[in-house]
Amino acid sequence: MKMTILGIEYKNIRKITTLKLPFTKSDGTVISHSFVMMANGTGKTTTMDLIKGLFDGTAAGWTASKVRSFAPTLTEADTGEFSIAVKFDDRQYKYFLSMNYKDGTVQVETSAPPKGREAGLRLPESIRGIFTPEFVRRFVFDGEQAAKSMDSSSNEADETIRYLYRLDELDEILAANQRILAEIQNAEGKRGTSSSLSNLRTRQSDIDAIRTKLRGRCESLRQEIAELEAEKAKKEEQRQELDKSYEKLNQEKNDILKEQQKNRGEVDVKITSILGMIKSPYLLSESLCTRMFELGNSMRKLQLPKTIAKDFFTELASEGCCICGRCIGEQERTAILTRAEQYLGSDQQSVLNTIKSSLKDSVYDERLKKEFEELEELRDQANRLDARFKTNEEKLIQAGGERARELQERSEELMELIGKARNELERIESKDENDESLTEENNLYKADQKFRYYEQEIAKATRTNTALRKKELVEFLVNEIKRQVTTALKQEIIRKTNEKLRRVIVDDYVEIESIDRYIKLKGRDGASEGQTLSIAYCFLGTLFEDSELEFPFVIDSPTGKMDFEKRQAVADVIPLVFNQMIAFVQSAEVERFADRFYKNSDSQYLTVVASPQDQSVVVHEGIEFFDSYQREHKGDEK
Amino acid sequence: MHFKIAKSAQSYFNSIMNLEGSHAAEDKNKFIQFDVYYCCALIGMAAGQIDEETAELRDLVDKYPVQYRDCKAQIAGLLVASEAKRLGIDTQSPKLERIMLQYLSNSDTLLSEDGIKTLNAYALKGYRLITDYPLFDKPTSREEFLDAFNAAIQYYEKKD
Repeated sequence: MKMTILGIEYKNIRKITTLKLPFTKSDGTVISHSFVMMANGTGKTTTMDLIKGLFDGTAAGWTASKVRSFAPTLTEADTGEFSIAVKFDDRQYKYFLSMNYKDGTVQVETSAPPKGREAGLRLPESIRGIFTPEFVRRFVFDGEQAAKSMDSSSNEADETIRYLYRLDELDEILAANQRILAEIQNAEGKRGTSSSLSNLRTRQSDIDAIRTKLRGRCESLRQEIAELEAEKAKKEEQRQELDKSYEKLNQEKNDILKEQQKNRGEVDVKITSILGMIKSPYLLSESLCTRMFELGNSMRKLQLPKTIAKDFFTELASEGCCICGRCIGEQERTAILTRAEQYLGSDQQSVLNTIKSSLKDSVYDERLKKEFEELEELRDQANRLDARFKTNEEKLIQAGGERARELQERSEELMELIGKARNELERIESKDENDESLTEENNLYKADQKFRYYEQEIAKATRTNTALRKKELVEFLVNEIKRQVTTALKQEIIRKTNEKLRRVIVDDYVEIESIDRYIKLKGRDGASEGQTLSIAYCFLGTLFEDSELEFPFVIDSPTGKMDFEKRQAVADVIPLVFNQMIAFVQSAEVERFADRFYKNSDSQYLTVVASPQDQSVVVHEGIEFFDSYQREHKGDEK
Repeated sequence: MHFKIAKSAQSYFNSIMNLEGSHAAEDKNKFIQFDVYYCCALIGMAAGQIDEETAELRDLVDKYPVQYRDCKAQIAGLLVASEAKRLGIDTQSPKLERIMLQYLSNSDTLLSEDGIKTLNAYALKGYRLITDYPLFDKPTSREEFLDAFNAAIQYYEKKD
């Protein structure tokens, strides 16, 4: 399945009265690389919001004030419309987002000839269900998304692989497998309906409804956490901006943060060192050391283990004569075997020898004591730094006035909300058998167990145990396939992404170590903004390159804070991996990025500007206007 | 035979201990569960006290995690020495050999079933002791736990 965007149209949205951005040639074929330069205030961010809202379905839930925020600023129109024409393989679809500014309502419609406009977002069958907000943000992309790929709270990387490589279809097999069992059990159950069976079915269906509800809740909690995190990051950024106005206090804050980071690192090193040392327990205290040393000493004095092993006497008892020459009769044999029990076997001797030699090194010194003292000192230092940070924070809030306080309070509130959401998510997903607060009502694992229990009970009652076993076998096999495929896919994705990364980031060593829900880098906790963007492109590029589904890549400010070298490398990578790119660029992004495509005949350049006469938005096509506009306006962007 | 930890320990130490199956990045700076088990066992042995209530325990692992394989002989030695002290056995007497045979074996852990069972009993008691004093609330950081562990060793060893 290949998706391409043919064009977008605006009617009465902010400064735009009517505007069309076509992404096709005159013969109708799709242009591979479209660069749209939108001057400040002409609606670059608005366009991204509208595309995302329309595709991921969130527009349907927009609040009245959000809808009204798109109202025209130059005319008095009560309604507005945004539409995207799309092609899925050879079939054309057009999606409409109609907004009523008076009522604050929004309506999503689809037209897929020969049918006219129908309510809702109607996607082709094969991709139905995959256009979640998270997924859409993979191909309607902005810089924030890049950072999210490496955020531990998100399982984005995993989810994208699941959908792009159609691993979700394996889930459909599992669901069908479940349905088949239910059908067999229903058919068998009809032979002798009893109230207890119907009871079991009702309970199973109830618990299944709870499972669905809990899964849905997990999804919405993840979404909520992502949104809260994004807002928190924004507020913190705004706070940082505000703090910059109070140079001295801000400098002090940055100094404290640096010291806190250093302190954290030193604490971690100390913990590792202590953990290593307590594995020699004689270092813990003099008395434990004495205890161990004395045991070793006693073993030496008692000559433990004895040099003669039980094995010697056992062998001797089976001989006809003793080494002294006397004959060994039945009586002597019994006596030897009985007394042999007082001796250790050679394997036991070796254990005692191992222990004896480890005990002889038990010598107490004050190394560990010193390490604990230093840890205590580091903790005191951390407390002092916390206190200094709080004082500095208060001063900054005082200096920043109402705005600073508002931002601070909201950040704290967001932290609390994030904490609550995380706790709830953890509770739903926990597999802790010993946590008594978990029930099948609030925990997916327990609900699954209960569901399986009813399944078995129904199988017993309907005598469909064989069918149940078959269903379990299929389930096991499909899950195993899923696990093995995912592991192999991830390995290949990591390998290919790292190959691309080596071409893009040449001034630093950045490599992906693993993808486990999110992208984890080898030997480092994070990367610079430019590097993060590069990693995201290389990762997404690899994913889209080999996937069953092909998507366009719509991107806002593609190069962000990338240096020239990386821009150039990314510009070389993108055409190889995306069948269509629509980049909303700023004038500063033309150099060494958009201009790399000037000679490519499969590219187009649109410049959207506000007319100097009446501020209405118009579009200019062609490289010439695009290039001269960027030269004249470089540095104008906010 | 498994090394076993108190059932309630998992939730008590969940802020500082990596839970099974957890992949979160914030977990990379947490203890493995055996670290906490081992520290509790050390406290129990320093105090010379055991708690044999097995219903309170849940399976942890049946072998030493790789980080502990080099010190298994010292742990076994300390266990025998602690048992000799707790049971009032003169380590100079031939009885020493008997308890060695009781607690040790040529298994991977160097401990017999009795040995692991007794180490579990020390760990359970150690967990009860540290959560009695000096920890009053769930520890929120590894450093807080280690400080408490150090204080517990000093305190209970003197009481012994």
